[in-house]
Amino acid sequence: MKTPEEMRQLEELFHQALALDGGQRAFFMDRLRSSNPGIVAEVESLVQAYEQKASFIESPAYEAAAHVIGDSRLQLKAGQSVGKYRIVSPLGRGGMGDVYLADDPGLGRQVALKLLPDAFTADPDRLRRFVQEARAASALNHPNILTIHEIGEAEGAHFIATEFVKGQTLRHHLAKRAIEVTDVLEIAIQIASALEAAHEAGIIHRDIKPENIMLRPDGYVKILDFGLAKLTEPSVGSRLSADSEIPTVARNYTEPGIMMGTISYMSPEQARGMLVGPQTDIFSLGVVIYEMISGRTPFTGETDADVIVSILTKGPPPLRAIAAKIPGAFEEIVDKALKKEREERYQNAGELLSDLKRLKQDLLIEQRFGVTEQPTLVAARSHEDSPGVSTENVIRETGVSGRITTSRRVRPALTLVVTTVAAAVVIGGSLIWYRAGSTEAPVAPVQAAAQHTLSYFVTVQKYRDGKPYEKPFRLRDDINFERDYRLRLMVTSQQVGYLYLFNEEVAESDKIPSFIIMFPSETTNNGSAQLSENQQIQIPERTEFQFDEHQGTERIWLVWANRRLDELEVLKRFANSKDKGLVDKPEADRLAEFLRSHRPTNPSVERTEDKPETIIRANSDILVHLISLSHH
Amino acid sequence: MSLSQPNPNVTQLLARWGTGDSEALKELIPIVYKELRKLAASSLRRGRVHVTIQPTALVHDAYIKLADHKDTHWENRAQFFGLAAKLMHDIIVDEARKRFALKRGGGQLRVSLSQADRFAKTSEVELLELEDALAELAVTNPQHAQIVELRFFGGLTIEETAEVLGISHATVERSWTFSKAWLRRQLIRK
Repeated sequence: MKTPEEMRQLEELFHQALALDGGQRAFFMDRLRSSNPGIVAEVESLVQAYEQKASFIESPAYEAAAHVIGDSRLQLKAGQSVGKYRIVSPLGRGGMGDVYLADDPGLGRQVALKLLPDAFTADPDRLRRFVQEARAASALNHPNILTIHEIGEAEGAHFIATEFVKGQTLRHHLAKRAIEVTDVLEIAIQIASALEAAHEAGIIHRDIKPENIMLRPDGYVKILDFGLAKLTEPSVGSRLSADSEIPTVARNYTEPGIMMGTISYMSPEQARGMLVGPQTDIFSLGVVIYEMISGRTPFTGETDADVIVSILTKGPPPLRAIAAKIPGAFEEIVDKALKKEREERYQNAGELLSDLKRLKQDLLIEQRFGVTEQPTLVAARSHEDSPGVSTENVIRETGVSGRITTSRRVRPALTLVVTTVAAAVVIGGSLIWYRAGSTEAPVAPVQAAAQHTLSYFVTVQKYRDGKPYEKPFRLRDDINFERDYRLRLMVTSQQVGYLYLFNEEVAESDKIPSFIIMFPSETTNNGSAQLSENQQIQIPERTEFQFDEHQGTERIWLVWANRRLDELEVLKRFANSKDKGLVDKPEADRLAEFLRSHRPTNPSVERTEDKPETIIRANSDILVHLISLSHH
Repeated sequence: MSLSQPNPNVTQLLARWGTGDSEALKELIPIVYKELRKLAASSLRRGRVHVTIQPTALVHDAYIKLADHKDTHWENRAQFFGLAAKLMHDIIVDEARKRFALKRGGGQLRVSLSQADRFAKTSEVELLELEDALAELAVTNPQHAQIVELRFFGGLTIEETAEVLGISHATVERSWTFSKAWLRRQLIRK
């Protein structure tokens, strides 16, 4: 190393040489070579180093070494370890870090491992808040919220290990194909359901966008990155106000297109840097739904600033102008979610969820009843076409008839769980009931000797704290139902016939059993018992049964006949909201007698295993079958 | 306390530091450090998006965010810039060390030798080599090293650097030119 004095000399000679141009410099160097041969090479190399790249370290370090400080992304390779996890393959790069498929050798399972960029984990306070919120969301155990296994640190790198979801993001899906209205609804419902649970727990996602929504091939929708926005709350530069809670987005883009795309889901309050609330997520979900329907986001612009201005000041282009087939009610829902003022939006995800569910049911009804070829109107409106049914009545009654479910004069064996969605149909259906009764066409006589086939399966859904905990599944074996389990029956009549279902009340000692009529009911099949060929009927149609607290075995009687059974038809009058389906004496006694006397017709019962279903066959005109479900 | 908002406290701390209160500096460092880190991260991302990034000094942003806007007292600014440049220097070099260690398979993030061999001379390596050369420069000429710190790590202009150090523009310019040549040559030699 040189002495300071040598350095000063070197520096002086360097400057002298640098100040000279070509010929003069050569002359200067030649002279130097004879007077100070030791230093000439040094000076030459310095001048050369300078002139080759005068821009060297001219850009500040934070720009020159951009990826060093700003991007902690290391491409990990298969076989490398992060903590206890072993990398299998990269899954993708996101704004909030790279995601890898990794093995958890201890538990022998695969996880998705997300490595968080250092820039987001530098602040311990934010990190702690993120961890807290992410864990809280995961702890909700909601089927539509990605489960977090671990949030940890290895070698200074923060990571999140989550359940590995096979499938693709909604972003990928959107890029590939248009999404059917019914699928849009289903996806929206699942997201809203997750948000409802999160909001009730006080957790706001803050960054709902197609990149954060995974679609599994089996139809599950999973929301990713709950709490992650907590890591990126400070603002970007000075364009936006200081303490805003901006979605991850704005500071995470890797290319302009992505940034544009992600700013697009920001709510007005986020763009303004104001506090966020449940309505923030609702707005973003509104944008996502809008995009699923129309293929474009509602607020656009050439630059981020234009997009933000659009979010703050412009109304979304009317959905039906872009997607003409969309039900008007769907547009109304999206519009309400996209209101600029938080107060005008849905106030919580639950409200949005029930509107979405109602719309879904209405569309189903229309499809089933064939009210319109294209389901562009909701059921409430479709009744306008029916004489004697006023839209106003249907809508007004909807709000109040949720009561139907709860009170029963006698301890119920099965409690009917009725949503407001079902309630709309109860009222609508009751009006249709009488019309249907009078116009029912006589059935062509069926040959007595013909074999009749009826099949059914039971769909079970596990609930927890009143919320769906798992997706519905078909009952495969006899299981012991628990209180939170809900179920419905799917019955198919392979030929035209009449179906009646009764739930036998838990018989207390030496009392004659009482019955609840499950089908037909006001809410199902227009109140008619008649089924067409291969018609599948869901019982209850729009809701589920759930067990009450009493242990024992639930007995459900299934009666099929090739003709209208007058002795059972008379029971339909109990199937109204007032009687709650409870069959009164003396009719209950007669029913007991009917079942007892027809039971010996014992049909052949077969269970298929691959797709669990029970098939009942008999050559008689009346089939009686008992379904027993035990619960504790 | 939100670090993103102008923080009058920083102004006071700077003033106290200016009068030789070393406690004030202790309080100041973590505040400035955090803010710089955040700004660096966001500025870099901006850098990749907008091709025409303005060479706005990061430290200016930090100063504007941290200190009271109304406070334009030059002494404070100069002090602040000096401090910020030093902190940025630490942040960036620490980061480079960490990443370098990670890549070379320190601890659990281990890569096989053959994989490690394939790593080209990356910017971390370059940055760490620069750091070595800068340390060497500091031994023989501390002011040169300080000017590099202010210019390269602090992002200050020639004029600002001159103000912070209380020397002439010409001196800064001359020093800067030489340091660049010298540092670059050291790097080429390696």
